[in-house]
Amino acid sequence: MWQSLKAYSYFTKIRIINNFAYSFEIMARFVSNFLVLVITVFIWKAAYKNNVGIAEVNQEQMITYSIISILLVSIYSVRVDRIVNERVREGFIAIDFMRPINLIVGWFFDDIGTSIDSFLLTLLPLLIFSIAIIKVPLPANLTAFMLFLASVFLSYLILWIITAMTSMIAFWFIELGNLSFVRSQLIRILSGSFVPLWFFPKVVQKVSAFLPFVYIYQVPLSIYIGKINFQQALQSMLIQVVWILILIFLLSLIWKKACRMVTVQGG
Amino acid sequence: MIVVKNLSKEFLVIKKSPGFSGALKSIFFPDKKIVHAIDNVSFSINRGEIVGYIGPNGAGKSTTVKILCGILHPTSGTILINGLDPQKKRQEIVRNIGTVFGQRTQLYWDIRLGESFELLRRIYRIDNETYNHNLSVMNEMLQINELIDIPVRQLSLGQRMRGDLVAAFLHSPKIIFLDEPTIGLDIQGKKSIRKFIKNINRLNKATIILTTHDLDDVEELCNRLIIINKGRIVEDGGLKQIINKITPYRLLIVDAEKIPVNFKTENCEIVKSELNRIHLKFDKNKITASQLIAQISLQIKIVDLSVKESDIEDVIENIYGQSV
Amino acid sequence: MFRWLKHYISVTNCFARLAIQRQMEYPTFLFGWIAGNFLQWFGGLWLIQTIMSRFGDLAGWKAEQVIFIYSLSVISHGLVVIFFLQTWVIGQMIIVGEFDRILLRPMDSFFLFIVRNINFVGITDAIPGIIIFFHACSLVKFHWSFVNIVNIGLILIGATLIRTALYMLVGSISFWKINRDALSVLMMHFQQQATSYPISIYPYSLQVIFTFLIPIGFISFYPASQFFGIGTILDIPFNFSFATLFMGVIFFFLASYVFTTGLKKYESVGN
Repeated sequence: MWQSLKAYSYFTKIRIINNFAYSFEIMARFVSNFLVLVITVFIWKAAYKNNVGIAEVNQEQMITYSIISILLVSIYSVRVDRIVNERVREGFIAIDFMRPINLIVGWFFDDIGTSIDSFLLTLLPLLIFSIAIIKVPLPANLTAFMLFLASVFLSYLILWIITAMTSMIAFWFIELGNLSFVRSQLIRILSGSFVPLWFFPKVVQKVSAFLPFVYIYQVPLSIYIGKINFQQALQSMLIQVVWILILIFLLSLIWKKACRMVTVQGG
Repeated sequence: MIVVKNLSKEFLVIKKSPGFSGALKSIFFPDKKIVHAIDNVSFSINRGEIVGYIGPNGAGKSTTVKILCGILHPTSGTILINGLDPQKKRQEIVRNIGTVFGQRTQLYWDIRLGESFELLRRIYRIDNETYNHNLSVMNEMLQINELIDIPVRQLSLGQRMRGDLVAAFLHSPKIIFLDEPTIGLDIQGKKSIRKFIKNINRLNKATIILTTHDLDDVEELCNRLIIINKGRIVEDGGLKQIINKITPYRLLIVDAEKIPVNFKTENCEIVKSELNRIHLKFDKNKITASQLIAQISLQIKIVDLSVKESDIEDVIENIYGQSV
Repeated sequence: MFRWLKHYISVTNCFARLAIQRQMEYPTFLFGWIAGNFLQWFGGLWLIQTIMSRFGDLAGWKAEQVIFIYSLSVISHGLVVIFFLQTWVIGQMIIVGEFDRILLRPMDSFFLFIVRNINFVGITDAIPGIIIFFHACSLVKFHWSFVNIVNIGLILIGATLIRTALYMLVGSISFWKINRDALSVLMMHFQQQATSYPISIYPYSLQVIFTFLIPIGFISFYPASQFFGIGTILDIPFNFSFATLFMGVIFFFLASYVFTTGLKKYESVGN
């Protein structure tokens, strides 16, 4: 167990070193997130200007919500879809299968590497800026903060598995690789990453409660700003766990089919 | 035709150190270094020559080619191509230049081969007569018509190379740069491409500059070699001339009934010694083969023997060996 | 001169034909783009409507007026994707050596760079934009006079040029600092976010920047403000459709100058 963890963490290390080679990109990513952050803050400020009586959340909560959301976006940089597409398109996937490791786990640790360096070089500086200049508050108490962190981890798993699953389309239809673009648009709209779902019509809210998307952004963010209490938070996190189990099951089914495909047709 | 004088090109490169700390360090304190890719190179090439421009990887071959095409500007030195400076008159120069980069096609990947030719016809403003004439001449040599309606991505490597060659020669260029034109091809493919290059050179009186690692290409095609190593020209001359100069020895392989343990000869070097076969290297300026054979036969009973001339491969080995 | 023009036009036509043929080779690709882009732009419309219906107005702009801004933004984005997509991938083109190929041709390099790719798939961006535009026009009771139609045309041309110029400016950085076009992605997100809402929501200093330095205000905000008669920081008695075109042409020339300078630098250093 320990040995194999060490082997997989090598993926993480390589990815981090690789990313460091593109210092310009790290900077660009920081500037990008910074600009989006500033723009978003002003959009909500303008929206709240003449509307003090918004019942769902107040202005400070909403701004905190969207800032933390942008910070999460920066570390939720999942690239497994790009990797799978590239490996299949260029015909390397058959070689990858010969390696004595679980490829999916390898790709996961690869993405963790990107998230770690985004955390250090994008999220942390932005967080310091947000706390110092925009006066973004921390969660109300330590329990909420711990719950938030745990929920973020579960969110990342949901996002990662959904991305991995849709990327497997490439095994059958390489030309539909751009469907991952459709997926990212769905997530953008339905996860509450920009506009939280409580502003949506009731019907949409009810339907999305049964979809996994809302558990990617809205749950941890609601915990952070104290929109949901301890009880509700635990409940939501339980649903996150259930979704993870369902998605892992689906992913393993698709993965097995994909493996058979590659070993029969040789990629 | 092509005159190059005191050409130099320097690059600034950033050195990377290994590991985490190295990666971090190169973000904040990049370690910059000047590399002399080409160092004071001079040569001239006449019309109709086929020149092999060879050297190990990173010797400065492709940098030279890029500079000659006007894509890259030199740090110092002068170049004249048909009396024009490619740095100042790039568009006029490249009108008469054709290129094949073996590793990178200029053909449109997804559509039928003929469309790529159509585009080139418009870019180079080739008139109908020339276009049809060139296509039919090259069709005779490369059977290009059978490929013209196939999407490039479905062509085999050899077929694609045929397409790339046609694309390079379509506008009747006076100078052609061929960078590894036979790379990855099978023997048959290599042969037909060499034959094409020979023929088109005779037909068009085109100057051909060939960079390659395949020494059979060199031996079959080039009447002249320019060997470059570490940015400097090491040798420039005829193929035979260079071989004589760099490796003026021959190899004598003798089969005998039994080679005595204390076998010894003068004026030659024992390269390899087996139970009943011995390889001797000798300088042909110092001793002739017959003299050597006479000398040996005094000591051992010769069953069979053969003499091997050194070839371009030995030359390259000799030169590259010094660079390591 | 005439011969020169004919030459360049025939090459442009040929590039366009090859581009169509290339994309027709992969018809299934279109499905992904149609689904993704329709979802993206109509989803964006829906998010704006959701916010606006809850909050009523944004810096004095009503929902239908914001949607009008948004539609101008989407259409001009679509036009960029159709005609100038290559300005997003300058860094990639350098890495794979595309500019070597361009420099080997006996034609103007900037011209070859601009015409080498006409990306018809971009229609899947433009069509949602056009649909949303007509939707917005009926909401705001847009007056379809001849002058207004001409104005819309000028605005879209100007807006496309402004957007392209900005992509070209950040893309040209690749000539000095090798990279995989990270800034182009940033530019896309930024343009998309900043041109979908009135820029009067920002503080004065940012508005000045978005007017003169990074003139995205002219892409959708200023033209819309003139149609609706809403005051802005730029209170000049000037037709904003001409202003947009003017800014577009100025910035396009500026960007092409920077691009050409970058290409010269590429010729002296290589990649």
